[in-house]
Amino acid sequence: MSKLENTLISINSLARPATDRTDAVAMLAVTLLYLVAVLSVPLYAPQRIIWLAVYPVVQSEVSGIGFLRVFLRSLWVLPLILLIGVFNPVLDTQTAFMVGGVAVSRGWVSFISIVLRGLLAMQAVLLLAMSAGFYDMCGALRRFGCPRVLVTQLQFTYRYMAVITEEALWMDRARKARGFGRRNYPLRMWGRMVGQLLVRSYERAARVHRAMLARGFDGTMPLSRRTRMTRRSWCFIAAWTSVVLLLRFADISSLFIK
Amino acid sequence: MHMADALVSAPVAVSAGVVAAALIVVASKKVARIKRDDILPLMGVMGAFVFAAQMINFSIPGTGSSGHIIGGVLLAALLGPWAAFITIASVLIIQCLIFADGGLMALGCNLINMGAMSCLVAWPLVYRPIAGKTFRKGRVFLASVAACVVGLELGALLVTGETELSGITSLPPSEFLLFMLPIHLAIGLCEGVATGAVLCFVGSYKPDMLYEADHVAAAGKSGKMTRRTKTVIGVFAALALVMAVSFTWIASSDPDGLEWSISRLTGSTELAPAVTPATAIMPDYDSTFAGVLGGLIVVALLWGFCSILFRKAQSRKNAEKL
Amino acid sequence: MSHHYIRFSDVHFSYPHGPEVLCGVDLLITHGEHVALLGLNGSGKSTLLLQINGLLLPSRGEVVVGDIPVSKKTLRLVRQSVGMVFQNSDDMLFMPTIGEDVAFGPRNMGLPETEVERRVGAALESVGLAGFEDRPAFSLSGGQRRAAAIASVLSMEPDILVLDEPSANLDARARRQLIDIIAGFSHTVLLATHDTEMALELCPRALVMDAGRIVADAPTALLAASTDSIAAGIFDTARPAPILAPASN
Repeated sequence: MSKLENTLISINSLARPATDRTDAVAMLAVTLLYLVAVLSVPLYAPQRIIWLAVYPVVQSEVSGIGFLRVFLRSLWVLPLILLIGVFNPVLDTQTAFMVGGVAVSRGWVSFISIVLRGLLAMQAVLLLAMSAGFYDMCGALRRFGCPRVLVTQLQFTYRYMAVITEEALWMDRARKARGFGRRNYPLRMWGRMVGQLLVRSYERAARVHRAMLARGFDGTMPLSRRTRMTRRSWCFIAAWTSVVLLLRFADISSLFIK
Repeated sequence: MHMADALVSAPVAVSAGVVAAALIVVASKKVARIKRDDILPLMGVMGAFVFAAQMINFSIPGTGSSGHIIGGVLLAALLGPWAAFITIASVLIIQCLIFADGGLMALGCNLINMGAMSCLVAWPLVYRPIAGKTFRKGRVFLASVAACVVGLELGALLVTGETELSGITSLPPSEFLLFMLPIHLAIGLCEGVATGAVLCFVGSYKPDMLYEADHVAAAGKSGKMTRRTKTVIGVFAALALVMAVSFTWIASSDPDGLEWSISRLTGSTELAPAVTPATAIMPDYDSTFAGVLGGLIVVALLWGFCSILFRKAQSRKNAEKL
Repeated sequence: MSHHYIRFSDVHFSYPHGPEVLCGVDLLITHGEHVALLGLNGSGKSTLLLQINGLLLPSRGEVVVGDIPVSKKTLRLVRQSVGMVFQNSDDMLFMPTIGEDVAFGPRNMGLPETEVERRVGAALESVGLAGFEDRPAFSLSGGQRRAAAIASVLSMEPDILVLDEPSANLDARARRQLIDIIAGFSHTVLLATHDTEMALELCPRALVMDAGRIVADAPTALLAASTDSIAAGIFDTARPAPILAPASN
């Protein structure tokens, strides 16, 4: 199961950002604002969505990730979007405008819109995932007033994701070694294997709990330090907020097309 | 079933986000009141387990395809509804923030569709009355299947509702439902059988892992449920299940349902003509088309400019490091 | 200062619905002693260790740690003075970063933040992980993780250090560093292990467990030379001497 292996690698690499760290709070705030901006553009105005591509393009290059990487990964969202969007050209055949003598229906316009917003929204989230480390994002969530139970839960789950995935990988390899090339599990065998993994996870939880008790845990997690907002993060927020708002509300296409 | 950002409008996303946030706050309070003091590490490791288990596929007999669990009902059967909701929420949030799986704005929708429906609705209303208090394999299996089907069908119903409310698709709600429900009936059956298989294994191997209401201080309500309420809930749940199953069965027994409805709507099943690439260099036919094209050109130029500018800066930085 | 002893008097213990795992354990470890706890798998070593800071409470008998009898009421006090290092370091490093893991104990003790920081720095320094505060656990090697797990206990400044299989799965260099860390701890140490060479090096005294009882309490070197069947099983001296190569010493 190469999926298990790949995931293991990516979990570990994403704990801390690969590049110069952008403050997670600022990044999360800008991403949310950007998504609202993208999703609130009317469906029949793709020419207004496209301008919002400025954010993923520029920010991915500024942070050193490279837009090509973000763009290629964002293509993963297409199948799902096409599945839903493909009905629009079929159902909405009203003509929107003519291009070179061919009528373009409103359905196609909205279809393009859906694809664009899908890609841009995905790119923004990818950018967030790739440029702010997960633990920093947990800190950011805490800052945004997220309940402590959930933040603790996120940190715990993230911490043990790699550990349990590794355990699953060992079990999977042990089976593969005796599995005669079968890729998937018949259900009975799957039930026993996942059940076994579940029991092991449960026992691990008990051991973790013991280790916590031994160090004076009394039911509440001690708070870790909160991230502080620097002047740089405020500038980051202010700059992108104004750019996104400008792109969203000013009709830039009309500057070019009379 | 993960909804992408593209499929929701801003108002729908925000309002679903508010509802999901409220549920998380309530669930956090409930979890904080749970008496067992190992609940935090347990939930955390269980979240990691669900994440790992989702990557192990089982083969679906006779189809050649494979499936994996989602885990909502499974978690509820082990941790109780509220803790399970927080746990599944954490899995969804991590999938969104780390792997960009499911949108960030659509996260509220996803938490409700995939978390709340299975843990907070299907588990107490379907699983519990059927499974009963003592562990018996047959009942647990039946309860798992029923709860998973109900949970997924409700989720599919909500996905449809949210997409329609967002005004993204031109597909009318009824046709969309005909499209969603049969698929999710199949997924629900697989999920249910898988959940049942795991729970039966756990029940016979380590029965104390299964959730008991005694752990919960705030369980007064469900603990004191009279037999009559239980019967009523059970009947209601069974009814819902029967309706969901029969509806989707009718839908799927008419394989041309979707095509038929499309042809009825549009007058033909042919796709509308696609945009042929414009032969003119820069047509000024319509501002929409020109706007998209112009935007693409400007953004591409910007990309080239930025990549040259910042890649240089980056490589200079790297050179300094060396 | 000589209060940091461990005393077991006639301790019995069984898991719910299970057979008795400890069947009348008596022992006394005085302050500053380094003692090895030896025994084959399943002899009850881990269960015995868990009694010391009340993670399991005896079904009969009494455990006293530094004048405090271990009971539900005294858990907090006992756990502050007994630092316990478990077999699996991943189980002990559950926080986002090593720094926070090491700070977990002191923060639970309610210490002020400046003191917490000082202790985290000192503990990491003493295990050779200075500057690792912001690293997540999985970016560390197995040996570093073991060291971090020990640091997370040392930061509570315990009087008694209890370790379960500390050298398991470590390569030679990491094992050497571990031995140096333990040797540098001046208070009481109780060490359950299969690594008899490490026991010989670190602990002058050894306790041998078998079937829930302490069957031997003697200098480690003496045990290593013993021909007793249990000791021979532990030290692996039961195998026949090589026939062809003459013994060099």
